[in-house]
Amino acid sequence: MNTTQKHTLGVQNQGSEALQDDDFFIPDLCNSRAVIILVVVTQLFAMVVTVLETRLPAFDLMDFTLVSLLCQWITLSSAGIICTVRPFLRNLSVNLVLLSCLLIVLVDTAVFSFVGQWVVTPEYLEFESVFNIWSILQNLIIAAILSIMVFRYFLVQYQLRLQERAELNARLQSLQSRIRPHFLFNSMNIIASLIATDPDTAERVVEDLSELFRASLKEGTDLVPLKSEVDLCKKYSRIEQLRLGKRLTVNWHEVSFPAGLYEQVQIPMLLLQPLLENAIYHGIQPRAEGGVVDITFENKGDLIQVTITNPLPSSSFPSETIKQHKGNKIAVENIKNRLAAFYGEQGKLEQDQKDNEFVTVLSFPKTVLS
Amino acid sequence: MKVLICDDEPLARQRLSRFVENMEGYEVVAEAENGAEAIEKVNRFDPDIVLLDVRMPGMDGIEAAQHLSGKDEPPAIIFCTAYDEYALEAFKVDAIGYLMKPVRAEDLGEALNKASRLNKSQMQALNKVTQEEGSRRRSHISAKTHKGIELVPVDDIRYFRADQKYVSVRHSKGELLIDETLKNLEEEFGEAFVRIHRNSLVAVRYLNGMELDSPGHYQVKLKGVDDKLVVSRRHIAALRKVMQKL
Repeated sequence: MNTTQKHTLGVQNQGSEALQDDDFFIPDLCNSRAVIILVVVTQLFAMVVTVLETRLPAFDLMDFTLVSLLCQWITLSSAGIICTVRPFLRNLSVNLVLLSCLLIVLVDTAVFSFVGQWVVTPEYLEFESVFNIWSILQNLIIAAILSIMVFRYFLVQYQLRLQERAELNARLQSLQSRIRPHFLFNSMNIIASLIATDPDTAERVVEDLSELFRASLKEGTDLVPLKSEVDLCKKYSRIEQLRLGKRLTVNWHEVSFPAGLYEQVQIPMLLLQPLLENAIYHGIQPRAEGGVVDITFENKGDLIQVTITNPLPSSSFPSETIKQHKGNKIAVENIKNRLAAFYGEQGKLEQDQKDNEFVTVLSFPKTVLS
Repeated sequence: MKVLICDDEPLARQRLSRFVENMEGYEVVAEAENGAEAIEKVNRFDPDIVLLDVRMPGMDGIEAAQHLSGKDEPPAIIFCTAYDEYALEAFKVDAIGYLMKPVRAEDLGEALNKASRLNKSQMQALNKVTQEEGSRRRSHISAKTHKGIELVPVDDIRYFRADQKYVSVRHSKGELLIDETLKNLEEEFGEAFVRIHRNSLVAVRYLNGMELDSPGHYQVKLKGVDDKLVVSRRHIAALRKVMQKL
């Protein structure tokens, strides 16, 4: 019975509170708003039960009061207990949390059903003679069914919220991290320089730059053929090539691909480019002597694996290394979020430091749109 | 007026160079790709004005300006940068000019004219780049020698030793005297160096063991140089701790 109220509470919780307190799928049931909602909804539920039990013409106010009392007891005490143990539940696995909450509600229902019967037993009768095990069982069944439904609802809501938040973050971060002001102004500077000496190249840079910006300004969830993402990466690396000159070498290794795979496989837009950008921005730019970025595409069964290797910045100052990792982290988190949203477990992004190289490995399933 | 252009991007240098060559009375005497190269070329070509990019690999423009300001007759520095960022906020940079890329020819001309009108003392006052406390570390240590400004990468330094008025900087190729205090160096380079004596600060990365010289007297050995340095008693424990982490 107490579960219906929580159902409503879950919906409410999606509002303002969701942002502050949504890292756990069991909502906080102790704040005043939650309690008011619990009381109101319990009352409504009691009304439903009474009406069903007595039928309308015979609606009995005494009956309604007793049912209400029992429902309120169960609801508020269960909510109170769950609210108290909530900090401990946080650390448990989802299944354990569900099980413990269900147990709490059932024990609570059993206790109060029993107490309820004892309280309403008229003094002149023996308790044993009116004790009704069936009534308690009936209450338990109702409580169990409603609890399972509602806790499952909480869980689904919570997962939905997480996913929404991840996507929102991904979009925000992609906007923020995409347009590196330095990249924009340096590219403008390149164009300004080339207009006088090499107008054709200048024109091409304008075209490449426009395409990069068009891609980065799009809303974040489009799927594109792998080929267009790779083309975008190549356009990006052409601009960086002009900027860094002989300091930058980008090697593309795409040999192991069957024909057509490039065009057919769909990936989220801007999945690769930020990784290449990081490799150049953190691996090549800080090195006066420059370096080589290797990008390798491999066909691994159901997966495509992309490996990007870049040298480590030659700085021996730990503080600078940390700074660079921080910049790197934003883009990596962003891509991880999107991989999780699109591919679930199958999409992976791993980074590792080997000898003097930084290796980024991205793998994702060969999704083909029908 | 002799101008030196320093930017890590070839096309950026090319554009500035074109502008400068088109202006009457100015010539480009050299180009550099990073701060360290700029200082070396300032020694060699003695330019009147340096156009300095802020963000460069190796040594950036801010640090290069810091080192250049130690010169007796420093060139006028005009910073060029693609984007106004934290780099300049953290510093009080009194540059003659501060140009945003893509640089406009008029702005460049104005800055160059302003620079050429200044007298030496004005220039010296303007070139001062004052570092805010603890805000960052230099990548190089510079000293004024007969050859001009000499640079030693901090990574190459074995130890600093205070000697009367100066601090001597021992690196793989020799020694250099600088006018700084061990205390400031210790603060600036924090974990990279460890204090072993009142008068010496050694590079952690080159530590190569501690040995007993005579009863109660310890010395440290360093990789790449034969010098052995005395460890004072009160620094032994701290030094041991550092060496255990290696």
